[in-house]
Amino acid sequence: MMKSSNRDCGIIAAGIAVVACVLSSALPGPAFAQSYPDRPIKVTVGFPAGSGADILCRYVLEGMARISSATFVVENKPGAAGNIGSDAVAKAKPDGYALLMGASSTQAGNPQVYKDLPWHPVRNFEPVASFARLAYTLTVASNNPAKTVADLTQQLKAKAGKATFGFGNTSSLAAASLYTHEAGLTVTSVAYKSTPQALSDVAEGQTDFMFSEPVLAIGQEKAGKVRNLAVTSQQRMISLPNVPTMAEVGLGNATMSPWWAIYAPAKTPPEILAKLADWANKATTTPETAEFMLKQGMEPFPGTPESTAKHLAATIDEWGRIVKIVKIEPQ
Amino acid sequence: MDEIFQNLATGFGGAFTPVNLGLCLIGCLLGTLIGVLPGIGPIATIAMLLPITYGLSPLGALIMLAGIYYGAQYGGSTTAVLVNLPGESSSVVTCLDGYQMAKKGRAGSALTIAALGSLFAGCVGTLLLAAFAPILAKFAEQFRSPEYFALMLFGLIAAVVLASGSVVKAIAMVVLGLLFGLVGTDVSSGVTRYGFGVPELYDGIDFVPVAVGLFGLAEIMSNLDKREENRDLASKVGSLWPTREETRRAIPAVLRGTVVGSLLGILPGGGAVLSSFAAYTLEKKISKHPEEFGKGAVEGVAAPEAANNAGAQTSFIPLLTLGIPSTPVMAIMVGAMMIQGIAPGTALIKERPDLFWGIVASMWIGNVMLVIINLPLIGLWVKLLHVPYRILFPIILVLCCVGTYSTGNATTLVVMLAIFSVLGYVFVKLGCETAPFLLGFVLGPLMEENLRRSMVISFGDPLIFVQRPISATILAMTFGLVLLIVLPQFRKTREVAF
Repeated sequence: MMKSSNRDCGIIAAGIAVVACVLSSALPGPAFAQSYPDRPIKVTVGFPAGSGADILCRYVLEGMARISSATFVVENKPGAAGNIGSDAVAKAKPDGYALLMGASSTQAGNPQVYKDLPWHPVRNFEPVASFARLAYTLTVASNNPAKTVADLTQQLKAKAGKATFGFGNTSSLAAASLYTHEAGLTVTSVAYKSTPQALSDVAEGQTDFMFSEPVLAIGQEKAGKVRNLAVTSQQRMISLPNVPTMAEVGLGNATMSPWWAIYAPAKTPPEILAKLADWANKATTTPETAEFMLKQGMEPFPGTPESTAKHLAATIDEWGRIVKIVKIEPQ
Repeated sequence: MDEIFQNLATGFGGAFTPVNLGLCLIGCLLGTLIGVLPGIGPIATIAMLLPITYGLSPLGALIMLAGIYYGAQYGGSTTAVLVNLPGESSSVVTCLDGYQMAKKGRAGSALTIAALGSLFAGCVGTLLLAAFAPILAKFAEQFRSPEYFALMLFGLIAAVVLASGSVVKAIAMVVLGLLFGLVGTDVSSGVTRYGFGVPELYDGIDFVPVAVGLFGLAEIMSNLDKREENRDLASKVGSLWPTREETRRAIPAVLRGTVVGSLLGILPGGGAVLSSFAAYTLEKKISKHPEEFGKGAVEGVAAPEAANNAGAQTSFIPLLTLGIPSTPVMAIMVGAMMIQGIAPGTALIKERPDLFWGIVASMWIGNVMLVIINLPLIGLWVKLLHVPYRILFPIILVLCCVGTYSTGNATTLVVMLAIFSVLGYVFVKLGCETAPFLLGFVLGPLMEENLRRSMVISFGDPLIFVQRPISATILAMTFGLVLLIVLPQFRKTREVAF
């Protein structure tokens, strides 16, 4: 009896050791920086492990690690539309060892959607480098008679307030609201927890249209379930060469390209920012990265700290306009 | 018929390469390991391994991840039986009778039945996929918000039937679970409910601290109440193999569980959560000895384990065709597909038959491997029960805290774990059952979301629920269930029976 429990204790100890190994990857060492970086850099992603956002961030960081031989450790702090992750980095030491992979909806949108956020997008952060941007597709069911955006607009007008659109996240809601506002339509929004759910309701005719992430809409279009009428990017997308942009169909104000960037806490030394931006841009501009991003309906979007700051300011203005149109009550 | 063989041949051809078999084995081993350690979930593991999969072929990557998923489910049932710790919603039901069997010294038997029942269900699930995948996908598409609302309502009413003891207490527990489920941001309006300014509550209460606290830690605490010699714990270790009587009772239960699980697994989202609960309720309803449920009934382990595995298999249909995952782990699988540039869609079956059928085949191979890995290990797991409780309890406590923390890297989760442990202890003291609470917690928010979405789509017309045939049928069944509970005749038999 005693003997066997000793052996089993050994098994349990081994188990604990495994757990410790798994978790220790999340704990940074206590050393101080002489020359940056001399220890792992912790990068916070405000979205769940394994989500589309997380996958993109890990891919870019892997490229940066190859170029710089620095070690990046991803820490997922999901929750509250990315706010929890942003808050953690805003409060971190500005020594270059705490970074944030931030989405435009989190950094520019949330401060206007949520009131009393404990962090400020400009005061608490230094932009490092933008690295990717995406677009949304205006998607309808394949059996919908509308072949163009103009057809759809007319059809929705005829429904006189009985039309609906689905959305799976805030950016998708924003894109749809910009369209209905520009086209002067009254359409009821239907909330879903994710884009695939919303998209399958569009395909089955439960809702009239939605603005979807391209990778999903392209998959369902190939399956003959939906049709893509337009894209919200500035230029046509390489993966959808025959689909016009919103600007081409005369709705230029409904253009929207959510984007991703690396941020550091405010007061991080500029030399460190420059170093990081250099790695990020090198990682973003390889052909492999371009291919990886195109497969997911995104494109590389390299930027300097200055250009990213400028772009952030513009996006904050854009979200100000969106919040007014959608009439989101600050929470 | 030819088509089935052709599909399976394509699949096994792709999966039966040395590299893919190796990846499958690694996944299964890793999954079993993390599944057995209470609280360490497959989500964190798979997310950490994702970067490794960049370099693998798409099929190889998905095979390895699927292996981890199955392995973890398998390991999760092991802890559910041995120490009453469910790792995810699907193993909650296994706790009910599995742990009771272990207390009676039938832990080995419970684990063997779970393993073989799962293997059988997995085989049936694979054949179903091979034969009917496109038809099943069509069926799944019929389920929209009104149908989901009806299904969730049915599930909640069934939760009352599921409970033993007082009906009033069962209803109270379902409603309490529902209230806890409401915490967080409302999907339809974006308003935060019961958030109290805590950002970690904005997305609702996580399932892991609730389940681990209510089941595992509350059980430990209520055991510490008692004098050492009276502790009612799974310390007896009987034969590892099921007796003839146990086998006789398990086989039909596995068959029924497989049918229930396969059907519910096809439904995108929500369905898989219900499968093990539904199988358990069905067994209890039709059993000649309903009084044994909750006290170590063999059927109460066999049916839900089979349902769970069959459901996991068929839930690949909504995952691969619609991109709608049934569990958080499945959500990561979609992520892994996207890395490889594979967008989910019905076209996938036609465009990449090698991939679709390869995954289906590898699931079957994974199931076989798991049985081979696990059957010899059962003896070892059962020996864990010999570890003195003064050593085992602190270890379980630490592992639960670590595991809960790692699901979201937040100390708030550990605080929640503590709160739910105390709550679970209070429930035990008051003689209230935890399973209806958890069902209310999981299904309540889904029911609300689909109810409100249906009402928005119909512009406020409640007839949407009865105009659609599937939704109307489920609602009629729900109504029948309510009558059963309310009718005095049933109440009498129920009192005798439970």
